[in-house]
Amino acid sequence: MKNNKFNKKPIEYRVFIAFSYIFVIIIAVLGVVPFIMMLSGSFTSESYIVNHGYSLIPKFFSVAAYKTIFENPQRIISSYAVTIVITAVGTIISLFLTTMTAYVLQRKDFPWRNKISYFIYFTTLFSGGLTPWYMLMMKMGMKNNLISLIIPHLFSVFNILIVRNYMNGIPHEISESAKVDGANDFLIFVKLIIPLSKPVIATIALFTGLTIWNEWYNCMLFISDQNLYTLQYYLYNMLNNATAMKELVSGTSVDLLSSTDLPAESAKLAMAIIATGPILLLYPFIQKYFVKGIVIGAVKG
Amino acid sequence: MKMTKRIVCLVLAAFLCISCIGCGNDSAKTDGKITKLKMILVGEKPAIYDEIYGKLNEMLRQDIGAEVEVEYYNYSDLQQKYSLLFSTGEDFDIVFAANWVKYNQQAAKNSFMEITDDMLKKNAPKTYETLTDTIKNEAKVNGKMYMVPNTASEYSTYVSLIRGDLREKYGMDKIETVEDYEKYLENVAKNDKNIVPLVNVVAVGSFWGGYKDGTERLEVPKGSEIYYDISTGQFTKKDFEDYFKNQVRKTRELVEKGIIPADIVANKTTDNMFENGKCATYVKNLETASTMAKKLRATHPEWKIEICDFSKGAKKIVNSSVSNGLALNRATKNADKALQFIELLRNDKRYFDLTWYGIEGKHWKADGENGYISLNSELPKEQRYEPGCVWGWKNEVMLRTDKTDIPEKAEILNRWKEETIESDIHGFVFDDTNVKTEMASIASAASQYGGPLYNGMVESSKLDAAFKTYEEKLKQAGIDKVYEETLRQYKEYQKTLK
Amino acid sequence: MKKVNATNTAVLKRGGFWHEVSNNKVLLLMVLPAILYFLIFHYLPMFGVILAFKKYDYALGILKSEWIGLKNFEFFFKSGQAYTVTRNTFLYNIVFILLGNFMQLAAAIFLTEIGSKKVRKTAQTCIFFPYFISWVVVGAFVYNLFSYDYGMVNSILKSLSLEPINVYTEPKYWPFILVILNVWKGLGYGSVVYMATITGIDTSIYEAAEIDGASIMKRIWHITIPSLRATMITLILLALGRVFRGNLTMFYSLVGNNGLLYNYTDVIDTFTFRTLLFSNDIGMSSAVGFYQSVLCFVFIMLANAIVKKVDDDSALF
Repeated sequence: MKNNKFNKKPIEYRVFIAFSYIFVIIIAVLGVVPFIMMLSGSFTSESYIVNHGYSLIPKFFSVAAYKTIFENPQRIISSYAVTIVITAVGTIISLFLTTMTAYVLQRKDFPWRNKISYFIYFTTLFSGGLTPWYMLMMKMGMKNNLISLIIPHLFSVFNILIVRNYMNGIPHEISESAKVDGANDFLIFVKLIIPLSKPVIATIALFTGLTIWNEWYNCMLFISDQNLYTLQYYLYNMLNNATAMKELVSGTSVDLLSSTDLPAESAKLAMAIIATGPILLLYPFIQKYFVKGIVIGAVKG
Repeated sequence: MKMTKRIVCLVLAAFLCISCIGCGNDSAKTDGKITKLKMILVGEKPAIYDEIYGKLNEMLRQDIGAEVEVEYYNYSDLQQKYSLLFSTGEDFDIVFAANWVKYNQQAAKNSFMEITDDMLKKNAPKTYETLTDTIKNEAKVNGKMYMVPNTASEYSTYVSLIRGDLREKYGMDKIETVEDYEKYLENVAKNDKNIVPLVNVVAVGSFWGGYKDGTERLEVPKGSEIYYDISTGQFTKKDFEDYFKNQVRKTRELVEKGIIPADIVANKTTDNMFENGKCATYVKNLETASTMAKKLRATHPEWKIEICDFSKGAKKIVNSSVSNGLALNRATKNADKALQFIELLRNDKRYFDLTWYGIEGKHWKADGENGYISLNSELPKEQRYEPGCVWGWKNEVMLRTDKTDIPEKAEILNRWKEETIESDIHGFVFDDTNVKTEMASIASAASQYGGPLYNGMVESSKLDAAFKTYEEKLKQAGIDKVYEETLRQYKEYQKTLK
Repeated sequence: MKKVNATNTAVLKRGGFWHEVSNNKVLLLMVLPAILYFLIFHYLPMFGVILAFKKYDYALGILKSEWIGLKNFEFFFKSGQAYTVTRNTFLYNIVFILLGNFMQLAAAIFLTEIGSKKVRKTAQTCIFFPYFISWVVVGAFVYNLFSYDYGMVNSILKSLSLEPINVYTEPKYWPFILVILNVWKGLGYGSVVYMATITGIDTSIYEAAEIDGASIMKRIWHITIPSLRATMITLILLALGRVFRGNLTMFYSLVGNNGLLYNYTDVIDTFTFRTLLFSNDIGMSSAVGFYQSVLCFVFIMLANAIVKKVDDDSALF
């Protein structure tokens, strides 16, 4: 049935589609092969990697890397929990604030739209550096406070401008006619604009979610309670402590070995797998929102 | 205009508000009888922290009426977080300090509280006695002492592990000299294609260079490409001297012989190659090498690990005492108690054993007067005691020797002690204020033009030209100025010693 | 003429400011969280930029430390590398941005055109994978690929009895390696925005075009690409605002401390990182950061002004 339809199309169409398939398959393979190498490497014995490098299929199957990482399952579980909580809470709040800001900034009748856009954008150019920022956060009582991991991600200038740009494409007659009907701007935003912006909201949800999921830097700065470590920081620490120590003390007489037995090469890969797994499972769910025509369906309906 | 003013006012108002939020928290520390001390250490928090430091606090409450809480800074965060401790005025009393976490720079920026002789005499008399003038000198920055340094003779001299089974396979006798060593590596390159002979280029400068000349050369000031020869007491600019050119030529020769890989600079996994059988030799300081030897003799007895010391006869100096130590926060209000606590850590066997080795009978048992046997490996992981950087209160008199160590270690250490000479170099603190720009430029030139030379990446035929370029770049960077400055400051420093 | 207009609006504004505020009070309330957030968390700590002009002393604090003029900038401009690293940073970023966006756009278009939902979804997930592979791991893979003695590339070359290549002593390969890896790693992430925008295009326009008998190429050229234009301009402008900032993690993980490659691979950030490793001087690193900020500022103001002339809607501000 489908085939018939395809055959009826002009030759130029068929060539184009064939080319699309080839292109897409090539980039997909280029993307997935290193990932498989990573997966397989994480299940390979350390000595095999050191001696022979990475390969597509694990030749010396070993779960040693995972065993070391999960040696302390409680810590892994608590760091997963922390990460999931801050990702969920942070993403939801951030989505709301970002889209709301973007909506105001794209309203042509809002007199200060350019000034405020500039005010916001300017912060990506100049920054005061780590010290004053750290002082500010500490003064606000952010030490060992999970809020410190969400605050830096509440607004992203990039996301605001992406959403603003997308909303520019929504016919502004929609807002205007609602306004004539007496709806206030906030209601228009919630009732009309949000449903129309699903694809871009899905996009920035993905971006924000990934950013918070990968959060380790602020955790390093503000969190010293091990029970509040994020997953990425926990893994980062496990992997880098030994290396960093070796680098720092290499010129001294300190014994560099006594502290850790981490199989560094395979563990590096295993950690990447542990950290990515859940996001990969979520991805298809987000993809749902990239289906062609969703916007128009909503408008017409 | 008005808009700007309004914004400025707003910002100022908000800033004032925020700076006041924190005002209340700083002081309420010394209530009642128990003083709460906060100590910052480096490393991972021990799994059984509560058990060890609970015990310690019990003793501490009785002895000096204090309690301590330790916060651990991970190694991987140190670069970022350590200086924040001081720049943002965080609240703590004692902090680990060491030259490898930039003790001198931090001290010069007013991070720590000065520790005077009077303070020590009053609160830590035993510690005061162990601090010789040399040690105190080493801990001084701009004439003031800011840390209680550790007191132990340590060396950073390199030794090398080799595989006895390979040596026997090639029909070689025991490896005594660096020439034997080179033969061994050549044999590996020829006969065992899957094993990389040598991955540490630093070995070349020491084994084939300094140790052979009967001396060691230290980079002073760090990052300047100026080197101090411990036996002659002379400073030289590294790349203008023949022995450094020879070192580069030797490295290149080893690369061409297939002993050092041609792309060694890009290999980031060199450290674990030896224990996985991918490399034929392991070059590290004595402590690390002997731990590795101990480990491999248990896991791979068939490799017949041997330890080689090519520094026989070469003069040595012990590491600076500021390699590890404890310092006080500039703003601490509990300086007396903190010093009393340090005194106990360093000189009271109960405190020292507990923090260094764990609980007696559980984590270790005594063996003779000063020996111990670790029981850690028999315990499940979450019960083990990994002390973190307790080196801050390392004290040779208190230290126990590990009876399971490889026997060669003590042998080598004893020999080194005889080869040790006195030196004042570690007490010399270079003040880079006048030559900051030059130091940065030297670092840049060293990495760009020096790196390829030391890693044996420049072909022999092009070496002379490369030397010339490097020399020129260093001159442009201002190495002469730094050199003069170093000599001047060193002379001034020596005057203060008399 | 213009002058009169200006004074007119000024007069209007005096009377009109509060009027406008009350007119837009809901919108203002909606944008208030953003204003407060950026004021507190970005503008408040921004006074830290003065560190670039100070000799930082912890005991005195940022505000009271001694002013030392441009001394912190000296090391960078006297190094003789300032031009090279600035040029490298700029050129790499320009290529990353243009080629990256082109590939992301192409991927998004091809992905939406292919009929099979299964293939599309799988492929889309697959091209996202590289985002999850950290640069450190990529660096290890690259070494595995190009290692002189054991690398896969050289094994193949040797088996074809060709001369092995040593990528780590030959700078000429690196612009290609770096560009390819950068595009590869950002492809999945970057194409998502384009996918979302395509999703938002009114399908009725497509249907009308199909009825008119427009070929697929024409449809893409006349409908899809114009609809993506604004998105593309926004994305490119946003990226251009960082055009003088190099990706330290990427360059450092791939190139490391390999002096032979620096002329082709050194960017401002790697240079500063390496040069200040020993002194760890906050003033000097702030100085370089300030230099980058100023360059980016000038560049983005120009770029934005040009875009504003051509297409007011797509400008950033």
